[in-house]
Amino acid sequence: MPDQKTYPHTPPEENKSAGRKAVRHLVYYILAAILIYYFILASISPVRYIRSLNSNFTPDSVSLSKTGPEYLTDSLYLDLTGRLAFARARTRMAATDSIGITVSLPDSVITIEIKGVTVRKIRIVEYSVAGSLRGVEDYTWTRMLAEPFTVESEIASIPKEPVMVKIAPRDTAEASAMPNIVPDTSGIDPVFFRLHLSKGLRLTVLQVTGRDSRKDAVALNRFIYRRKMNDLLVSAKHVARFRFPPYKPEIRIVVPKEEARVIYRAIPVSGEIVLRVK
Amino acid sequence: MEGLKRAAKKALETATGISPGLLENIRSRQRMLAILLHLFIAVMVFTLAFLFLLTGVPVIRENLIPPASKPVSDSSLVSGKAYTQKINSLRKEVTTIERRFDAMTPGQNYLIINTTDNRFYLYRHRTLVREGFCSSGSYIHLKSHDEREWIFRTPRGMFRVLGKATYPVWRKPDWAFIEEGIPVPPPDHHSRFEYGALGDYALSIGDGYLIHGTLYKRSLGMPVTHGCVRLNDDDLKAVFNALSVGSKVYIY
Repeated sequence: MPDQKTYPHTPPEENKSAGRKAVRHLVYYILAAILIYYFILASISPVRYIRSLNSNFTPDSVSLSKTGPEYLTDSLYLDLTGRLAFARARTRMAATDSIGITVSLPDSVITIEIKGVTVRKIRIVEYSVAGSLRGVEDYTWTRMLAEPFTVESEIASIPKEPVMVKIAPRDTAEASAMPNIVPDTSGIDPVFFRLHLSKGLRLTVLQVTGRDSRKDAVALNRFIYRRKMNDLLVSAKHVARFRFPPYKPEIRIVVPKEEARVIYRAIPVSGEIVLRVK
Repeated sequence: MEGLKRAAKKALETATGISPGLLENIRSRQRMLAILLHLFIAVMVFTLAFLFLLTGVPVIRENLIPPASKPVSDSSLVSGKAYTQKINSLRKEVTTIERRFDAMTPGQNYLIINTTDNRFYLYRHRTLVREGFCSSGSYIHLKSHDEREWIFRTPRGMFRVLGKATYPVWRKPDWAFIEEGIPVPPPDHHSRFEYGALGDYALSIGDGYLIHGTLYKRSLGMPVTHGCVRLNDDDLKAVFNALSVGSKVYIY
């Protein structure tokens, strides 16, 4: 009568290795399944985002009764409504007391505006728009960009205000012995920042990193990969709870270093930004 | 079975001359190598999976969305009278709003101050007539021993010149004494008044903030003030002469 626990012709060692192999394969299969599951959910979220945009900013019955649906595909009409939306958004931003930023991608220009007055014009060196935004209908763009975006949160490589705490001296002797305050080093630190805007958009502004500034290039990669890691962690948490991961398309802009610093310092907390994409 | 194995081992030993100990040694090394190989493969698989999630998925998912329909120029629509009217009214509306927006820029003289680079720009009839260095707030957060605190920042936004003065006298606030470790004198004590520290001219923009001169010209271009804006003597004179009460000052 052969032993019931082992196969009659398989030695225990081979049996063990077969078991290990099976466990190994199982781990790989589970990993593959998780990957596929994550990939599917992560791929669906941009589709859902674009669909919701296109449906939220769909032409209302009032505007359709004025024009007719055939206008919504006409290039000249869409170009003019785009210009009108941009001008209206700038006017709305000018009505507020705070400093506003206008980003015009077709003109490759960023302007800092106060009450409608352009106080600085900055040339965009290069920019990229998330591929998913190609799916946004032109009419959706015009309606979406007709209002300024609000900065909901931000992450940056330099502080917004380089505040340095100084404890008052007790007497003149202590005052003269006090060390000098450490100066703000943001003038030499690399500048990268990401703004989380309303309507689920993200605006990332990066300084130009030339080949000569290796330190800046390393800092840029660290900044980008930290943000990616953060996104991955947030997405993984959602996927683990069987939810679609959040999706925020990004507009990435590269400007000269000193300009990146000026833009970041100029944008107030919860400031407004007007965008022109097409 | 065991007997067979033992016999095979013995046969191998006699045929090759390898002792069982050495054979066992070789086998354990082989096992170790196999484990290391599997470990390496596992690490590689996990690393690739991680990289795929980190960089691959975001790129792939961006490109899965089909592009939106491209706008076209419909000839049947363009030929219609309603279309022409609609386009003309849109053009008119765009021009009106753009003109209204453009009119927000003052036609009179105005001053722009950049507190990040510590530079100023003086405009006359929308043309830049002078630019140079200035000094703005240092962002020092001063904490006194009696729980009072100040942050020396220059306010941002649009301001108007509320008043102009020649040979201004600086009435030192409490922080000026606290910062130097000097006991704070009564409000109208003579030690509060300092002559010549603000230069020849001062323009008030409200809340005690001034545009004035400085004795510390070497620090122009740096954030060193207590919130006021400092200019050198020549620039201050030009700004003082160009701006009148009510002129706009834009600070960012």
